[in-house]
Amino acid sequence: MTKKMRRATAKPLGGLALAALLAACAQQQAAGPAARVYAVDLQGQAKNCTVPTNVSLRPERATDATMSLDNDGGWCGVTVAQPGPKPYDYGVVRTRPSNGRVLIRTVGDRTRVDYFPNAAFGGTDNFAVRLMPGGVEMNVAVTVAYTPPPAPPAPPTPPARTPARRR
Amino acid sequence: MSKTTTPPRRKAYALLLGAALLPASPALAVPRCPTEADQTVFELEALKTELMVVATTCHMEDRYNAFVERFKPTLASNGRAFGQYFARVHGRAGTRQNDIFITELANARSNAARQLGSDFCPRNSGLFSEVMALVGATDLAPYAAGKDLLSAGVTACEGAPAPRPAAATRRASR
Repeated sequence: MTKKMRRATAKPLGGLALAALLAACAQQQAAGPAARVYAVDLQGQAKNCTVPTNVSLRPERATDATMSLDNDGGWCGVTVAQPGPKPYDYGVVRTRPSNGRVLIRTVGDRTRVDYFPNAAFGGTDNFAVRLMPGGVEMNVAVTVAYTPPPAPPAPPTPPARTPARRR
Repeated sequence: MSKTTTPPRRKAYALLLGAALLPASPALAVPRCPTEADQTVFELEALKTELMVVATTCHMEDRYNAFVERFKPTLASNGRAFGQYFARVHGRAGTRQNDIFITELANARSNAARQLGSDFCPRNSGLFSEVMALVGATDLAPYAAGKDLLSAGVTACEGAPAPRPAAATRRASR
């Protein structure tokens, strides 16, 4: 009698545990595996790149962002994402920078908007992008610091030539 | 009668100075076309070439064909503008220069693909998803502007290479 009862109570408990396990599994599947990040997208960042960490883009008006970097040939990028997070489907350049290039790329489960300053450029620049879906816009004001490399050492002065002795 | 010759030591100093100056001189900015219209034409052509390289490397010819089919009018008019640029700048040698540039562009994008190795296909095949998600053909040029495809190997307008002997010229399949 007691055995039967135990079995009867154990069954619903086991069923509940299984259901909970399946639910957790389904949740994991819905979230999906983390998107892959490629090494090439992480290489070449400017040594000093300061950007806002949490840029939330709103559809009703363009978002302003600032970026400052040292011009050592590397890029500096603002990372944005849709809720999830997930990357935007694509991005377009609305206003080109005057002294650099823009690259909009998917990096893992986010979208990164990179700016590459022209070589030897120092000063201010700006550009604007639009991201889809939603048509959200971001204006980026860039400050680039550039320190010219030290001048090369002066060549050694040739030794004074002694006039040839006449015979 | 005197003959001016550079003493060997002075020549050596000149070489030394040149070598010292070489790494110090800043690299030039990536050349851009003088007009935005020309720049856009080159960027769109570079995007088409990049997608072609992805398609052939990653066996995605169907996706490339779907892209061409969807944006046929825009791509055709861009192709005409591209040809006109070379005709305008190089005159009668325009067609040949156009062919050379296309070849150089395809080679540059293929080299970039090779550098990525096994990451190239999983990473760059996403371009097809992006380009097919474009709301309309008007987004194609500003989308290409955000892909920075003309910074390595070849560059827009000024990047058009000098004429080469015909034997050395190979035309890339478009």
